[in-house]
Amino acid sequence: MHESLLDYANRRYLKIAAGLCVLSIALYAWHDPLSPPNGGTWLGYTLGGIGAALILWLTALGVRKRSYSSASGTLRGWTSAHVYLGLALLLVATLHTGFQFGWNLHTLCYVLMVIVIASGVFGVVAYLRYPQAMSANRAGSKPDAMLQEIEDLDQRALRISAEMPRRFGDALRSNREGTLLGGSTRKILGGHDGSVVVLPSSGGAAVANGSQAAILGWLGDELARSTDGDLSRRVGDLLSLLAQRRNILQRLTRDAQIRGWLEVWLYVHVPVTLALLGTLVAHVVSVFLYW
Amino acid sequence: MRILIRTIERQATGASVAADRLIESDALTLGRATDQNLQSNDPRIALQHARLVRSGSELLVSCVAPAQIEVNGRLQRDAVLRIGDDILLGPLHIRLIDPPAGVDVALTVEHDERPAPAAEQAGLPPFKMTLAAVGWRKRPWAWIGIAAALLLGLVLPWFLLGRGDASIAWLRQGVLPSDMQWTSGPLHSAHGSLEMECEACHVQPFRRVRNEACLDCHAPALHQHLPADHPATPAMAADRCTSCHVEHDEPSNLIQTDSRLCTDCHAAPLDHGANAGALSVTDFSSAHPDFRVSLLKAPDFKVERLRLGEAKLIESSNLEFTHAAHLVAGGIKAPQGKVVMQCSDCHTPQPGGAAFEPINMERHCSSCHTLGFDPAEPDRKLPHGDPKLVMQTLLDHYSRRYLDGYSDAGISAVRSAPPGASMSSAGRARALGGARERAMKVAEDIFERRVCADCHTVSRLGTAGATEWVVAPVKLTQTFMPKAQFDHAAHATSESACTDCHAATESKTAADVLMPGIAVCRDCHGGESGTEGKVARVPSPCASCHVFHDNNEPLWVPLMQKTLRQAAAKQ
Repeated sequence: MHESLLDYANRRYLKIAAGLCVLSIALYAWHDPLSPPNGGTWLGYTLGGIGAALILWLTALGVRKRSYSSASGTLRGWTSAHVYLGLALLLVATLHTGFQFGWNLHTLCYVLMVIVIASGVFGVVAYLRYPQAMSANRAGSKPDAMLQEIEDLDQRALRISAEMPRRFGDALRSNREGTLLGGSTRKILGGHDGSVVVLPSSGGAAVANGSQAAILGWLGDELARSTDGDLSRRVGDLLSLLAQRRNILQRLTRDAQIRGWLEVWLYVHVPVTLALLGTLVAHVVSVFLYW
Repeated sequence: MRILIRTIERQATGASVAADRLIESDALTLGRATDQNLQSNDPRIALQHARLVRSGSELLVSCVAPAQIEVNGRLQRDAVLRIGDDILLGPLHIRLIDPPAGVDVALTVEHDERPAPAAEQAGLPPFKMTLAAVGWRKRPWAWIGIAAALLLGLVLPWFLLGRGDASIAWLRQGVLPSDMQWTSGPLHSAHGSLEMECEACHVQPFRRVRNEACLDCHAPALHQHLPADHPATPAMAADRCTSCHVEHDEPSNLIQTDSRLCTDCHAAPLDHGANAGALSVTDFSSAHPDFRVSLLKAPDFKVERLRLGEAKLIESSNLEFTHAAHLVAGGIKAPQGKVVMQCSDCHTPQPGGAAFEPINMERHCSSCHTLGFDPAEPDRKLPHGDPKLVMQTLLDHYSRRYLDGYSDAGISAVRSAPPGASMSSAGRARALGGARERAMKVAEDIFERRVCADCHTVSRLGTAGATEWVVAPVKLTQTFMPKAQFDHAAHATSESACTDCHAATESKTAADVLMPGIAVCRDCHGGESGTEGKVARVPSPCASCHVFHDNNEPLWVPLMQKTLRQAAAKQ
């Protein structure tokens, strides 16, 4: 059985993070400063220090994962700790604020941190869910191979169409040229096949051909109309090839969709983390600048 | 079944070399996985692509969906195979051949290295199937994020702060974030005018707010939180204002009311050794001694501090007075008829309602205690306050009357003269002598039996020839509890509010001290949190009654002086 990141090392880091949370909550409940709880009490400074250290260490995962020769623990261990301690950070930093928020740099720092953690939670869920779906969808193949298969299918279909009336070849070439996978964020993440095709039946206009629906429909009509046995057999062959093409296109679209969702959170997580680092520095310095 | 696989390799010279392989299996498997009987790494082939099996006398090929295989130029998923059939699987060109003896199935396999004859040269259009391909980027945004945060959040305001007031003022008025973004919360409303003037308190970067910044506006005298001889005074003088008066908090906590500030020491005040009389206090409801009152003691009216409940307290004001006699429910006899007296008839609140106006004879007593002395002229009143003036008034009064020809049966020397008749000098002397006699009688009466004696302790001095009366001075305690502040207006909740706390209706002597003990307060007031057991009471930390600052000079006075000075300097 595959051991997920969350179960790594018998959930060692879950226990550490939970311990940190329990300790923080207990201290927060116990300490009773003269002023309302804020970042400037002894516990405020302590939690702030822990929080800042956590942010720096959590960011260091980005360095650690690029350093393949590192001897500082396994990358899986780091990632497992990254997830649990990242969640614990949310609590530590919230207690650090003393629940005082406002339209200022300090709250901005907190909000950026929440965005980073929230996107990270999305990432964890994505990593737990999508890889299996991705393997199941790829069924042992790879996107490159699938594209090559499409190429192969197209060549075969075109060879067959060479002995058929011209409209078939034209339709197949248009189908090929009009194939559009991905192309925009919406199409990738929505799993949308934006292909178009120009068919004799469409009067020279490009019609939507997602999942080869338009060309398969047209070939079906041609088959129904055909009285020539030889042509019917060839149309049947084309239908078979294009049905297979449709299957591959659907898998490619789904593959791009899964990959998109699997990495889209990182486009939030990473840049906002860097913005958070800058804001954190400004937060710490400004607090002491105007001590 | 026994299967012969003949692999044919074409060499560069054009000659071909065949290699035979014989396998014994129920099925022949074809695919990209390494456990397949016939394996090729070509990406077009699935891991388990197809199987060749025998079904009765027929040989079948069946593909694992969704894979298909080309048999004699036709793409199929399942097909019946015959000798001579051509099978295309990616680059593999398979042909069924006549099996030699002892073999059930035989096939040749040729690896077609040549690219498939392209009927169409144009490739598929390039697809943008990843987020990166449609323009998503991490790195530039990361750099923009960190640079913007550092520049706008720190460097720019800091830089302009160093360039002087004009620069930072320019930034604060513009759209760019200024140092105002560094505020961690609003200021207390009393400091609202400083909201845009960080440097008023944060004088030096990286230095904590210093007391001088506070005392710039607030006079040091106002911050004598404790008497000079208080044991905590040296420590507090060395402390920073801001260690207790914290700004930028929500809710605002500028005025510190936490009882721990007091009880940290007052739980065990004797530890300090300085003030041996101090008792332990930790909480108003559970651990607070009964109140001490400041009593003025005749004859010298020195203040004595005495604790309620310890012994019967006696106020010696030299006044003869009883609350009970004045507060008769049915009313009391007065010159103007029956009068029902209220507490407020004499105890007039000061503006603000916290304390009362001093009791004053003319204002509070004289409407009933009229100081009239001659029933024949009831409007003629004696002056209050000076026995000599009283004597003089009496003499004046009776001299006038007797000279006017008034006859007084009680005084033998005075006889009535006919109206309008001029009096002889002997008659005048008699009249004046009679007047003196009458004045002395009346004086004796008022000083020793009624009027003055109603309220005052009067002693008679001198001989019979030169009688003099001395009235013992009266001084009432104006503030019984000067160490605490109490707002009467806030407690005037009902008509009977006064007597709820002060047992005036039962007090039959002016010596009674009518100050309520702590038990009376505790009926409504709880400790720090207010709740005791399940009873909710008014939360009452130390600062509810005990204040640090001197109330006589409001905080804004020095501030106003400073403002006036600045205004004068500008002119």
